[in-house]
Amino acid sequence: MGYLIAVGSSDEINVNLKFGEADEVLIYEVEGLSYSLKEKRKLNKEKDTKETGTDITCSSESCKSCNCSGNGQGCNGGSDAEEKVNILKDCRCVLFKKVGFQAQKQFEKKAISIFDIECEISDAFEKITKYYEKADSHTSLRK
Amino acid sequence: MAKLLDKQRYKCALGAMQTVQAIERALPVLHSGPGCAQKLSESTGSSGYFSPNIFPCTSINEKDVVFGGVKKLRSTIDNALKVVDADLYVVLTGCIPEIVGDDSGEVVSEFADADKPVIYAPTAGFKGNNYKGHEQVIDAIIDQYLKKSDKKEKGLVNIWADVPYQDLFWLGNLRELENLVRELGLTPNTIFGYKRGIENIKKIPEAEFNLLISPWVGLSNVKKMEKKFGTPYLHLKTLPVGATETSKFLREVGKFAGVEEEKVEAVIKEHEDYYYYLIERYADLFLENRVINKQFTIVADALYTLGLTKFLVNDLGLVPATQFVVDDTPQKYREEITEEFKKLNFGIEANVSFETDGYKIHEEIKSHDYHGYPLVLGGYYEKEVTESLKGNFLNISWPVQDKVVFDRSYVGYSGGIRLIEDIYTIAVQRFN
Repeated sequence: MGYLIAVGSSDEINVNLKFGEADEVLIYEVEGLSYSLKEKRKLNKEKDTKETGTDITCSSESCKSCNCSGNGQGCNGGSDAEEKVNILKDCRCVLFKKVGFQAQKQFEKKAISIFDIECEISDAFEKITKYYEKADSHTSLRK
Repeated sequence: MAKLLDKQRYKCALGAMQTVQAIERALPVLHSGPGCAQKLSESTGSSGYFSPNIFPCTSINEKDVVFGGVKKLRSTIDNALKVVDADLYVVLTGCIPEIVGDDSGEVVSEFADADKPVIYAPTAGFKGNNYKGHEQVIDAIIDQYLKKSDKKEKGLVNIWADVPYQDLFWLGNLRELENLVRELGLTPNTIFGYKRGIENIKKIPEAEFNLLISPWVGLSNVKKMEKKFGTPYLHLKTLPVGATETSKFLREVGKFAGVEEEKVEAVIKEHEDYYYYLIERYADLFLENRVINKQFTIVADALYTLGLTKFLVNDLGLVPATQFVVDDTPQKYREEITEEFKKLNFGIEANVSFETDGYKIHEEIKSHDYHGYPLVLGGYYEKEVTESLKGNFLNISWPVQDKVVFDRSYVGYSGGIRLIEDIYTIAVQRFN
């Protein structure tokens, strides 16, 4: 059975985007130990149309609506994370440079594994595919 | 085929964090999943300057399984050195990092120049139980911290016996063993408990000899010290409980250390006189055979099962039913230990069973004819089965649930008296 992995990357070589700053993620399809890029998936569909070209700041209105801590990073709190995570709900795991607390909890809720790493996509895939291959075939990780 | 183990009497090797904790101002640094320390720390008496809830831990997760946890280990050691004031940092690895192949030893070696010593003991659960883990920690101290010393202190004796916390009486037992050795004019050196710690560890290579009181735990350690430091060792398998074994103990230690025979005999006489004065006073109670049992069973680790069997036969004149050793004694030691159970007074031999499965132990206890009420000395698990047989039960081995032990001891002449008190306290209650 194949599965999907979402990757936050700006150059399609390295895992180099934080979950919060990624507008688009790469979705890879994995079958056994081989993998291929399946699609590029937008994460901030609504935001793109609303805020394109504007400086992302925390507006007082959005703060009120979603309990934003008002740190000026365009954070929209738990509901925003939930929405974004929902877009990746068909993935088995996600690879980002960093994943914030709200999003982490949302991923955990959906039993999606988070790998917050900074390395080449190919390196990460080599390790992750081997790990899942062994886990799925109930083989010891020591072998 | 997977096997169920009912009523396990030990923990995984990572339980050796308790061995580290017993060394004053030594800090376990755990390279394990979150929760290991919490699960392994249910024994009482484990709070203090460092307690399991504050042991630094890498809390490794799925990411570390896939990508390795060495980075986290490095930062955890680094920060532990910065924020926790300890004398010795002992990195203990759990199952996960050992399975995925983290080179923890390599990371620890990077801290060779740190202000405080950092050592590492592989204590993955699949490598064995906490008895083995205890040995691993001592091995780590010998291999990574201590160096051979040209200076040897005459009369200095390192004493190795109990596994701290696994035996709730560890502190009192060690102190009593120290007292006995001290009375022979020797200087005891132990590393566990109050005011021992790193300074005593440093003295280990200077000792005249190592004294190991244990059927098997620690034997590999003293052999290693013989090889590395040239320190000879005296291996006594029996925990000296009561007059018979304690006098034997003093004679053997005295002989090995070259203490004058008259001096040894004088110490023995003084103790035995008082011991038998007490026994005499209660002879009427012992002769009142309706309160005590004819046969007994002990369910404990090799150290206790052997030591207490000898005490109950030699000093109290009871008859042994099957004795159970539940510490998963390695196969290579079993024959020798079985032989020890045959060296009892009055030509009595005890049948010993190396069994870790509580269900099987209970079935054997239930099916044995004790010729009356059984006396069972064991873990709390044995309470119910003993009660169902209307026997007398004393909780002396892990898990201990029905008593609080600070520094009581069952070792030596006084320890034997304490044990008689405990057994007869239970026995006489039956008729109150």
